Amino acid sequence: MEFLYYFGDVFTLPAFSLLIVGTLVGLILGAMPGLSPTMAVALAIPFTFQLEPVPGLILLGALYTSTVAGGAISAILLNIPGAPANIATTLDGHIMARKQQGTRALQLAFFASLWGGLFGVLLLIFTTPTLAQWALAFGPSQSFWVAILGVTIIGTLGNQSIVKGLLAGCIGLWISTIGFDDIFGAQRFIFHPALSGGIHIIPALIGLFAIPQVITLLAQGHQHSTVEIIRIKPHGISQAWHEIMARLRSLSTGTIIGSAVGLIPGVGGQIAGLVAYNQARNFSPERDKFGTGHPEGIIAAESANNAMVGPSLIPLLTLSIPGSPTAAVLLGGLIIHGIFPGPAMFTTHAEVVWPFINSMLLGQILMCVFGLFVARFIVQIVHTPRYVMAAMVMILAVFGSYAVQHSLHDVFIMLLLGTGMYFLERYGYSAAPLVLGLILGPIAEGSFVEGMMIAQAQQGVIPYFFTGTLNLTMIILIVASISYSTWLKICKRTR
Amino acid sequence: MNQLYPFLIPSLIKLSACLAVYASYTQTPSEAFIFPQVISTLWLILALCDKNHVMRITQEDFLSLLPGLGICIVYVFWAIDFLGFYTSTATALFSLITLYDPAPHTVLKSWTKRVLITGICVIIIYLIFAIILQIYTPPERFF
Repeated sequence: MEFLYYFGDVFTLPAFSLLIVGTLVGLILGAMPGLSPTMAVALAIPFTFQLEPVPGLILLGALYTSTVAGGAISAILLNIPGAPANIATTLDGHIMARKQQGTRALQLAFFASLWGGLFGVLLLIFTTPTLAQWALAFGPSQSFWVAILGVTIIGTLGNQSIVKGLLAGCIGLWISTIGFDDIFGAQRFIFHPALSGGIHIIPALIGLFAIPQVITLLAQGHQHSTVEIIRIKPHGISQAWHEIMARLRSLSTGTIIGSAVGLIPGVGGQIAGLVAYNQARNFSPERDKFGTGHPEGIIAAESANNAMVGPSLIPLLTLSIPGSPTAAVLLGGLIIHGIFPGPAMFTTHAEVVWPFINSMLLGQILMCVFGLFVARFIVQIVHTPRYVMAAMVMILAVFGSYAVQHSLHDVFIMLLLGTGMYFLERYGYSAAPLVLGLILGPIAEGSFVEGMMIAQAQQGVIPYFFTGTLNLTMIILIVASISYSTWLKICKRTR
Repeated sequence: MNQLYPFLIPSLIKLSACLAVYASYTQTPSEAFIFPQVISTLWLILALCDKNHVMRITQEDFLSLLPGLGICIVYVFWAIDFLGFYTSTATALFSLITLYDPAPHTVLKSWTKRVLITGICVIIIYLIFAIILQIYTPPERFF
């Protein structure tokens, strides 16, 4: 119950104000199609530089929580999921909206998000310290394998092509070696003076996640909006509350599936929502009504995608393996504030980590309250033309990258990486493994070099890195993630 | 586009992998390059294994994004340094909005809307970065 001791830290004026601001902005950004939660968090990191770690991380956590829920607004009212996690919500949500039940659908979505989100964060609170204790046994070889496991899992499970996923991870790991080597004092791959300090994580994160979306929005810039504006009628909040309490089966199905999926690194909210929707339909006696505007479809999908948020941070906070691309960006945010996730974090940085986690618990409640009352106004902002959104994101990306070190070189690197990533994405590569390679690269290399030194002084490289229960567990997990993804691809091809 | 450039990016990735391998294996002190050597070798192997080359972009989309991307490149690589942050931001924003706004260019109302959007956005950016976050930017060229 250590978390209760730090609950008061969330209620300081700067922390609580930023929690409110983050939740509101997150709902708006989440509702805007084309602006993903990952990009929202990446763009917000520079704003947290001037802040103390606690309020800074609270802002990022609030954005993560509410962008996922905010996506339900456009999914229901416009039939456009605000984020991939909300795809399953459109299946019944928009049909309900077309039947003049838009308010009811939104209320059910936010109540379901609240329950799913609270369960997910409570799971995070009660399991993370125990897992962190277990992870304290990790030495350099285990830390090395954990970093490689993180890149491998995101590269394989979260990608359409295993080779492309792993390739992107390798590129990220290699890019992370650019700059001054801390251990041997060597300068590595400094082809231009701009690279002498290496590639800073934040401009890279902004470039890799925001610029491809800017270019995509520009590519669709001339297209006229064909979105149908649906008028919504009032609906009693208490009625929605009773309705959700009467549909506990789909609520618990979504919550449990979302939490379980969140624990698997690299899988993400899109899978959580779709799997939960499918299972809720299988378990429901009214399965024929799914897809025709059935409330259980919304409840399952929204409880799942929000239940995923908390557990996706469990591997991040205990082992430094992000459970989703957004968690990978949060890892960057933690590192920027001098907090290295891992086993020792709950002892060395308890005063920062617990308020951050507690704020996510409170953030779920705020997200539900704001969502219930302001969703209908947010939908007006969603109609912002794509080219205006693209231009605004571009400018935020430029200023955000510059703000990191007051260097124009960071802005150049941001645009170059982002433009390159856009074209890589067109060929099926994704940014998440590349970013993870970039973030985990220094951890992997540091552990690798330290492990090599220990190995040479003790039993040798092969016994040090390839024997022992923990090392073998990690290696088996790496092989299993590649084999499982390959098996899935083969099954898909033969079907 | 699909017929013309299916191998462009994969070939660039293979070429980059070759350069990374070369750079990793030829630098000194060699102890500092062990990790990049391992990673670049893996990169090259995976790049050679990557056989699936399908470019998912239509010619229409590509032609639509080119002028916008051009403005972004000029903005970042030249205008920020030459004109200053806020002047170049206003210019880039106005150019992007004008370029992509489907409203007719002959109507005064659409120009007023573009100027207003640009003005509001630049004021918000200025308030956030210059006033609240107090981020120093180099002096503007014209004011």
